[in-house]
Amino acid sequence: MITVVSVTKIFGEKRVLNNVSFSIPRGSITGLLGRNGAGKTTLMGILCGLIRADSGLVLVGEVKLFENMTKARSMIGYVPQKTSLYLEMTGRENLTYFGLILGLSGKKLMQAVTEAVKATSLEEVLDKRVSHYSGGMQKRLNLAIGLLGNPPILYLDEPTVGVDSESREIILETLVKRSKEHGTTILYVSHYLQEVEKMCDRLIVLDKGSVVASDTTINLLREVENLEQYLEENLQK
Amino acid sequence: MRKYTAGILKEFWLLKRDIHALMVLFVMPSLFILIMSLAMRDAFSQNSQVHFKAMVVCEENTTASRDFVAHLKAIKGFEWSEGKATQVPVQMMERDILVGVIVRTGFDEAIHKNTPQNRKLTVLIAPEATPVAKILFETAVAGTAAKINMVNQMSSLNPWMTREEKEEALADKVWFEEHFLQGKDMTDIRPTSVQQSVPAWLIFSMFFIIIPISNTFVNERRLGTLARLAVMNVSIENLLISKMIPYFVINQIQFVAMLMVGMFIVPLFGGDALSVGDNVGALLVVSSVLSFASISYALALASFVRTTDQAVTIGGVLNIIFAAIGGIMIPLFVMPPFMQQLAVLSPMSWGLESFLALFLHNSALSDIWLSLGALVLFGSLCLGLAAWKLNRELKEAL
Repeated sequence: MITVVSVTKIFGEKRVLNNVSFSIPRGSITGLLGRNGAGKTTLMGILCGLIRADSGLVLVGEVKLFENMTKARSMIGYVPQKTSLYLEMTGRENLTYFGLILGLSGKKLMQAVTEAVKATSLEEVLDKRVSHYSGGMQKRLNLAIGLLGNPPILYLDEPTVGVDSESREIILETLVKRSKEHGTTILYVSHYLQEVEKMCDRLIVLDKGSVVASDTTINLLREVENLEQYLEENLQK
Repeated sequence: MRKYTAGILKEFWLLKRDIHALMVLFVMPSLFILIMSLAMRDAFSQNSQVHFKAMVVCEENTTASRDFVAHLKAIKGFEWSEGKATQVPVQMMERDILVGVIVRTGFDEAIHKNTPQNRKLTVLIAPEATPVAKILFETAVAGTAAKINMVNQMSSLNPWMTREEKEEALADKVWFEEHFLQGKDMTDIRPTSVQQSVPAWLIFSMFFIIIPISNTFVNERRLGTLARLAVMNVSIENLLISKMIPYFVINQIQFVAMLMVGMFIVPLFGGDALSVGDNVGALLVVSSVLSFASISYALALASFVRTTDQAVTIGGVLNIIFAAIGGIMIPLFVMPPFMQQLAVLSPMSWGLESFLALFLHNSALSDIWLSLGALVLFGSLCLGLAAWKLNRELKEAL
């Protein structure tokens, strides 16, 4: 579903991504791991089409990302790390706004909002202003917006950072369900290894701009008993 | 098209909850228009509402001195009182009077002998009197003395001249007719304080659109919403245009509301009613161009600051500077020439000049193209700057 071939990005003198290649199969949940400065954010920017790679190729399905940006992006749902919401609008207004932006309207929009709200268990607070939500509820709404319109691909940038355990469970359950029921391809950036181990089918490990491991979670865990310790020992400091 | 509709809808949702911004956009200018129109009413008034407090002291009881005092007191523009010579400096110190004149003993004789060099009139001016008040008072005293002297000379040539004939000679005669120009047309529409206040405070409040715009825009940048929208295929052009449309509508509502305040509310409090001239279409063009300039300026500022507090503080200070030098707070004609030249630096001044040209001179758009062109250029530069900054920022937004 997503294919990255020899992607390189240089900022000034610094090679932030160095010949990065991997592929993510349709319907899988892939975890992207790496220390701060490993190049995860730049890679996410390139995959979303916000940053142009200096060389290499990104395929979204059969579509070349930088040659047909609009079509490629129309397949992507993006959940940023920051709660990118309008705090003075209600949850319903936020969902309606982003739904309209995605081209939904009328019954389709109402249905999409209802589904997203149900998936993230936000029914009770839907008509309250987002500024009155807890941090966990805001993160769930952030995810709900990413789910609008059932995008075939979902990129999530640390969606559970600073979230209470109840909201974390809801978010993780929602993602697994999405992948199984809708066949959504998910790329999940997280620092929480337990989360990644539990949820992801595949793992990609980035270090200093290069892919140092890319395999199924089962294979990686077979090779190393303690993933956290492995990462600690093998990633360059 | 749906993206524009969504953007416009979103801005209205946010704006209706931004009560403070709405107060600044509508209540503040309404109050300023009312207060400043009433406060400056007399400064613009063409009737006898302007009064400098003056005292006349007459130290001799003669026909000439009595005539002099009577005719002096009939001159408009002064609020007269009579007293003794010793009272004049005391009342000036207490700021009860601004100017005074003492008719000394021997005035009658000086008039009869036609010897003005005898200096039997003493004029006293308080230090706080403006040059205009001083000139006005000295002209009134000199003119009245000259008139008394002339009639006295006439009666010495004609000893049979009756009291009525002398009165007739002394009576004020108006030798001219007065018209106010509107463009090339002479009309009887008088410039009033409300014609200065309405456009001035309307423009000031239009530029305060920075508050609601920055409240939304800075948060969109700070919280990464712009990056999210970009991934949803919302272009920067789309984003900026869908922001401009709702605030343009707000600016136009401000325009109509402030005209209504000038036309109907200010007269209820004793001020003059606003007269907008005949060229309503041109007024709409000026209002639209001003709106474009003020929204673009707000978007540019909101693109560069980091917090809404910074936007409100920097925007507020810049607006006050633009207003101070641009003739918004103090009319340009009151300013010294070098300050009037400085006004050209303020975009608010370009808008004000355009409105005043339409209100007072019934000008056509072709007469104010330079000011309008400057506003369009200013707005375009600001908008370009905002687009450039956003484009750059999106690459660093994640």
